Amino acid sequence: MKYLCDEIAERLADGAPLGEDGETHIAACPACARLVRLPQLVAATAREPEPGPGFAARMQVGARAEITARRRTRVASLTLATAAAVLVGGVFLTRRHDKDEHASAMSRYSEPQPISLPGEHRADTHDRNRAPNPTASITDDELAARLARVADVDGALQPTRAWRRIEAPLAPYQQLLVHVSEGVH
Amino acid sequence: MNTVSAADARSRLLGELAQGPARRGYAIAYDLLGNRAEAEESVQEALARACESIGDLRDPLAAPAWFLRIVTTICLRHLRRRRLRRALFGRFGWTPKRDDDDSGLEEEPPDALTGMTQGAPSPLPTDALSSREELTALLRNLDGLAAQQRAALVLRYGHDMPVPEVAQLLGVELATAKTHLVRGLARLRDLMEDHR
Repeated sequence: MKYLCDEIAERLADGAPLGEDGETHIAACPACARLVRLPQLVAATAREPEPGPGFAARMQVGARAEITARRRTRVASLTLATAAAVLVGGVFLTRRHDKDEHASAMSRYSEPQPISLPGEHRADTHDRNRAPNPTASITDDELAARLARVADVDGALQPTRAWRRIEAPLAPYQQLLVHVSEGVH
Repeated sequence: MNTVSAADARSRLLGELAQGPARRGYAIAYDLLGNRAEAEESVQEALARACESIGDLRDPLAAPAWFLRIVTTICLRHLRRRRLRRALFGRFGWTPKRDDDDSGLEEEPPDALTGMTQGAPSPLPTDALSSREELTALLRNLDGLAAQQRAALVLRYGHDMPVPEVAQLLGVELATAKTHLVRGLARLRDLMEDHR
């Protein structure tokens, strides 16, 4: 029974004649009887609307306007995409440049400097003379300013800043403090 | 030189399509969308797209069928958006605008239906046209079908197209078009049953 219902639906779709067996089945099956009526009803709803005077001209004008609008949209989208790409590229490059600067500023302080306490005389004096200590000729205030710069206080105040990134630049100073406290005690 | 010839070709194609195929496209779009303004917009958009992608057309003789396929694709997109809007805003009372609504379908059917029920010349059997209410319900229930099912039914039965042509316009395989037809009929029957 189900097979015949499917068969009838397929014949309707193909537009094939229902056949004698189909007619017999439709007479006995109300669902199929309703189904058979549908194509005629759908056909009855189709209209041949009169498009109105000047249809062809109206369509041509509308299509030209549509082409222009689409072209404008495409140009605007392309411009926006290019601007966005340039912006993203600029931000990326600027940030990278900042990082490089930060890294070069750090490199002067990241290497542990030899600690000399008052009255102490070390064996590697000639090496130190060859590479003079950058902190030798600067005042305490300048040193404090450099420390604050290297510590990147503004960056460290950001709530989302990783602790590791706050701590890393200060590692040499931590080491220095350890040495100093060992020397004092 | 090439630019000029391409522009000429576009202009010629636009003129040719706007004469015959655009009218047929309009009829299809109107039956699918039920709205004159949307049907005209769809045809205009299809003409614009056809002109822009004229390079994709290998056989100039296939231009009308190619154009109708573009129209159908645009109408399917409209129908899908309409279904989505109905799904999103239907609970707030939004319904798609139909020209049928303008003519007061509840009291009076569209001109075509009126003519048919009054015995105007028609290839359709009169017993199929006996009930205006049934036709009105059918028009409304067609909105409940999936876009491709609705398009398949309208093209196959409303425009009397063979299944291969329906498949071509929908851009699907023959078997898929048949499936859309069979499922669309079954769904429409269920919707009509619910309506009663």
